[in-house]
Amino acid sequence: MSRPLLLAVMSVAAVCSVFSALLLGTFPVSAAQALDSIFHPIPGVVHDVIWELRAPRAAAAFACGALLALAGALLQVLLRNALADPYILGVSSGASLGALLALTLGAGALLINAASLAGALAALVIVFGLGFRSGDWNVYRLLLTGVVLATGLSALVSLLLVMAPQAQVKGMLFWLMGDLAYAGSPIPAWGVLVAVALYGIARATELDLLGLGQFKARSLGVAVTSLQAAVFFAAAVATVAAVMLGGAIGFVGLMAPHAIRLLGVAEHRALLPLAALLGGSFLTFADTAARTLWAPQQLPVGVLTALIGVPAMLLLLGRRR
Amino acid sequence: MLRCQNLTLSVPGRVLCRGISCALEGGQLWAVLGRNGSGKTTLVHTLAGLQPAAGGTIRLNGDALVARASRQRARDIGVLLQLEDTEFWGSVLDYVLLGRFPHARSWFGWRREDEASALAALETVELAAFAQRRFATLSGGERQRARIAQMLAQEPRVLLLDEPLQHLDLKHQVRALGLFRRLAREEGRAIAMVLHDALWPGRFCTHALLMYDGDDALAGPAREVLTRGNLERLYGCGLDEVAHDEGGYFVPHV
Repeated sequence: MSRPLLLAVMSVAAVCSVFSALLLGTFPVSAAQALDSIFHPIPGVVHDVIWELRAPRAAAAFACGALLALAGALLQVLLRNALADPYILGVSSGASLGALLALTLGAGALLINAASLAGALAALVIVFGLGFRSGDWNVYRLLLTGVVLATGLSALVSLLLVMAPQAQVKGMLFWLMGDLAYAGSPIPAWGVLVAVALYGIARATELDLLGLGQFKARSLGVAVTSLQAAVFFAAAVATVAAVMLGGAIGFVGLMAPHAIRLLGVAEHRALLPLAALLGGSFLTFADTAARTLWAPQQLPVGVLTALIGVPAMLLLLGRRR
Repeated sequence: MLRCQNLTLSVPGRVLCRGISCALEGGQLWAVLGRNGSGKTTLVHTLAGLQPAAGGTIRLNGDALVARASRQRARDIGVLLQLEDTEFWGSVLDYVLLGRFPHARSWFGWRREDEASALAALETVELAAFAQRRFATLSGGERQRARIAQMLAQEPRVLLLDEPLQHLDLKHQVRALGLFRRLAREEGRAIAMVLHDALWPGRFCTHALLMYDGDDALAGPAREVLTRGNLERLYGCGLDEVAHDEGGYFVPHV
């Protein structure tokens, strides 16, 4: 597909995903009512449902998905590993451990958020500290450090799950699988999203070169070490912002960049915004499905991303060129 | 242009070569010869500023190479790497355009002059018809020519080529060598290339650097350095001289 067409398709998908998130739910809202509420806000039930409940959640879902897609694309080129996803450096495991510890101790929502942030940052500091030892960037060491740390933290998470009282386990599982029902204000995440996207687009050609290998990038004038450190932090900040909103939602960060590549765009200047749009609209759709399919029950969105995404991805992979 | 003084090359755990001194000037085409593992690739990387020298100094137009910002350095020095292991997802033109990075100034993609330079480079290596093909579909020799085109698009004054003839068929070996000779003679660029064939240096190169194992390197004009005795000592095998209208050439004695 040509780039302008792809951009148009992704933009339309983004608008549709947000609009359907405003319409669908247990309280029926018609398209006319929604448009009315957007352009002529009048206080009332419809207004409250749209602006107090659904719009913030749609904004959170979109930001979360876009951040995960950006982080995935950045880490895939930084680690030069197609299987890299935002959680490969242990961010989500650290956040999960922090959150579950707080849940076990019976903490409130604010403290749970603080604990998960602390856990995520601790994991990042450890991975960066060990990976950057002696001033020499070795992406394999960085990758392995992250994977090893994530494995250890997951073991601790499993231990907590086994030892926790029955009543708490369900809440914990929702946290682990990813869920946007308790997302806080999406505004900080949108700030991070804009900043990381602009940074990535500004450095797009350097990212393309980094994909050809460190030596090649250096030979063409890229200051490789500082670029790698900056990309690491950009991806880390994006992941932390996403995890703070929705927990460890899987699949989006790994697959959104690959879907765009399979559609024929690999240049980062186009890949990053397209992947962000795809990740954002995909997660918004998935979240709408998660809260409407089995209403009033809510499904964890992390399960739905995989259930919807896997067939779509297999279809793309099987497509003949 | 690019001068090195008393250069020591090492890889982790091993010193490869000591005391290399040579001066690459505009218009010169150097051959770098040596056995496997003698440090030819390390020399190319070190001269290009991709890795630090274990000892000695490198100056580009009189300034220390290490003092240069990497983009500024890449505007002056182009490197053709021997190994490039990553696959590239884009088109051949996309690949060659990456050579324009040291000159790029825009957030919004390549400028028209970048595209023009890349297309001209593809024309030079006879890949113009392949510009829109995916890079991954190229054969080994075509990829090598695309790499050469990328370096041409980079427009450096100094070209360091690590086995530029690898994967090329005979016709394109001759074309590539003719191109390098033209770049040196007519455009005044300074070129050094690592070669493995004892036939080419005598016919195309103005100068040669022989890297013997240990502490010994011999640099100078091709006619003086490329003698049968020197080359037999370099490769550790017997050579036969073949007379040709422009001079004598060497083939291995079997």
